[in-house]
Amino acid sequence: MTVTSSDHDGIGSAARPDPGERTSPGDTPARVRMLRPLRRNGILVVLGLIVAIAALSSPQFLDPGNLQNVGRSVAIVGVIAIGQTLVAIVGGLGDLSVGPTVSLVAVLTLGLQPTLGPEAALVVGLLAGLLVGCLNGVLIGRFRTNSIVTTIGAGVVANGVALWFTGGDTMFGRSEGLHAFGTGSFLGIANIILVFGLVVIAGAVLLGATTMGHRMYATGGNLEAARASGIRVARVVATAFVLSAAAASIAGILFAALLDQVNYDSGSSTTFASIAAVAVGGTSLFGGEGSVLRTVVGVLLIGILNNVVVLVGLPLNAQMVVTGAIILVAVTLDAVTRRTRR
Amino acid sequence: MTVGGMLRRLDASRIFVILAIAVVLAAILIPNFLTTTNVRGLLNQASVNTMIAVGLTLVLIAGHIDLSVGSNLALSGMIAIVLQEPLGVPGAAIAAVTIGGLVGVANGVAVAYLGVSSLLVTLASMIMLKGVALTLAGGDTVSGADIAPSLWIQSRMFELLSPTIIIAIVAVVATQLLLSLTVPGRTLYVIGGSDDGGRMTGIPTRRYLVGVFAASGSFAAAGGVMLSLGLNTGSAYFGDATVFTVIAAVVVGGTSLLGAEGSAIKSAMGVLLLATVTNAFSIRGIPTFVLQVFTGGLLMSVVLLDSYLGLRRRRSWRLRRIAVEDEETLDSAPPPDRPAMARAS
Repeated sequence: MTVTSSDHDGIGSAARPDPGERTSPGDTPARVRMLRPLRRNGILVVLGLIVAIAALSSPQFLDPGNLQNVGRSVAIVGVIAIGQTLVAIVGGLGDLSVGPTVSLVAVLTLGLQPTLGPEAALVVGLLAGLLVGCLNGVLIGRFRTNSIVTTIGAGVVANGVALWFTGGDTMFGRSEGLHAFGTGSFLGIANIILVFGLVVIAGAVLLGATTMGHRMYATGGNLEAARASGIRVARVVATAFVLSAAAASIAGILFAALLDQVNYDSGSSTTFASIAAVAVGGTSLFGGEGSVLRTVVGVLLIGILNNVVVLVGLPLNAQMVVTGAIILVAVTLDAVTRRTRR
Repeated sequence: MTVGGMLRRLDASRIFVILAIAVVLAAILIPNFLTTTNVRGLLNQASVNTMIAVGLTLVLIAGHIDLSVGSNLALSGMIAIVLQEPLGVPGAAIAAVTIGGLVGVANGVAVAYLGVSSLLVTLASMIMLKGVALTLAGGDTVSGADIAPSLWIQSRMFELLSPTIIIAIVAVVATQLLLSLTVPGRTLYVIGGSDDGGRMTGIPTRRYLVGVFAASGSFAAAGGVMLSLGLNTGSAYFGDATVFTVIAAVVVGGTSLLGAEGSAIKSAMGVLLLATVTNAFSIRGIPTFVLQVFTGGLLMSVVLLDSYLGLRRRRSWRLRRIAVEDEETLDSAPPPDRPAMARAS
């Protein structure tokens, strides 16, 4: 339940099987302990089932080209979702400013190319995205404002700046290099999938192998306990929001590179999509537990489902109904298994 | 009285002060602002979001959130237009509000009885309802055959009013009376303050939560019907930004996202404030991006003010860590009769 659960219970703590996984409370009856592996890896079972169903229902599904399509379609939201995972783990619920940040970075990256050149435009875009993150981080970490309202506010401002910059027009890329990178591949794997992979590794290392990562779990698990044990919680929370904005900025650049044409509102759908991926993966938005790998599974799950919907010929609009239903099933299962765990 | 106490008292009624300042400034700076036509137009526009804000206020007071209101609004508006032919305008409107209410009941059951976080439940239903609305219209907008109801619902009554505006005012006043004067209304604040506390004093918390989400769904649907009838058009894209706008308005009005605080009238004033600013900016021809930056800045100043005054400091910067913390303290006590996981995980 929380990383600090050993503070609350004596006997069962030694039975905590695996310190890397931060989901186990200590003191639980045997029946519940038996359920634990299922609960912990239930999402993997679901993913396996869906892959199997997908492979059976549509022969094209396992085609390498199609699998690349799935990867390409989830890579951008996936990068953002890794950032959202950090925000969720520190207990910040979600970063609702990521969609506008993606748009802002993308329009700056493409729109500044004629005046600044592609490299400088990219840097300015990244800095603008990080600025949004710093704003969120300072307000939420230092001044402890409500994260939902603060990130909505930052998102509205970022959206306004993007609208001002574009004047409502679509920005087109002027640089061959960026677009070639976005659509290109390396050793047969699309570049944007590789970037997603790098971000996943970076996130996993941060959470699993650095002090900051452990502090994030501690802060999200129990803010007051973390503070009492000397963690500067304001910094930890701020870091999570800055890194979330950094991930959104990378996603914005990928967005610009892939499409080569963006407007001030292009990224708006990624906000809820990324939070949904985190939630489906089973990371609690209330902090203290979760992992990057869970989020990757959540991202893949939604991506594969959407792919299958297209492959079996359902209308595109049905994708949203299916996505919503899957989120509902996943979070309900999660809540119900948590209840039996007690 | 200390300075802090005075500030806090001022903060409690801040929305009235801010709204008054905004209206006075607009009246001085913009010659056409205080004409009856403009004020009526402004109120007409604000009434849809007011309906949603009222429902959302109930949910927030009970300590939860409803992200599905925007999609609910779009879907209900579309249903109200599509069903006009078979059912007639009143029948279609009633059907739409009923469906919206049922969506709310489904949200409420998932939150109260299955123990899923309201943020996630309503995120899922937001996506699903949008998909249903898109499927229903094939991605297009739908128009009503008869323009008469559309003209009626925004028609002028008593100079400043219209049927839309009257519905919104009735909704605000009725909800405020419910909240301030009735036992169920007061009970919502108890539930929002402490779910377990409410349960232990014998309040059927879960039934209340279902009721609150049903109300939120119905209000959003009513807003959707008013919007779509007014425009004689239904579209799946209505309400895309509504959640954000209304949450912003409600929070500026002084309702807390942490539960147990809020008032329908203040939320309505929050909506009016944003509508006034939008209206004033558009009359002056100030570009939309300035409005957005201004709105975002306003929102952030308000949350900063909240945290500066320390009103919510003890409860920290996130939504209450519902259930999790509560349960850990409960574990040492004898288990309550019912599973203690009515709320989020």
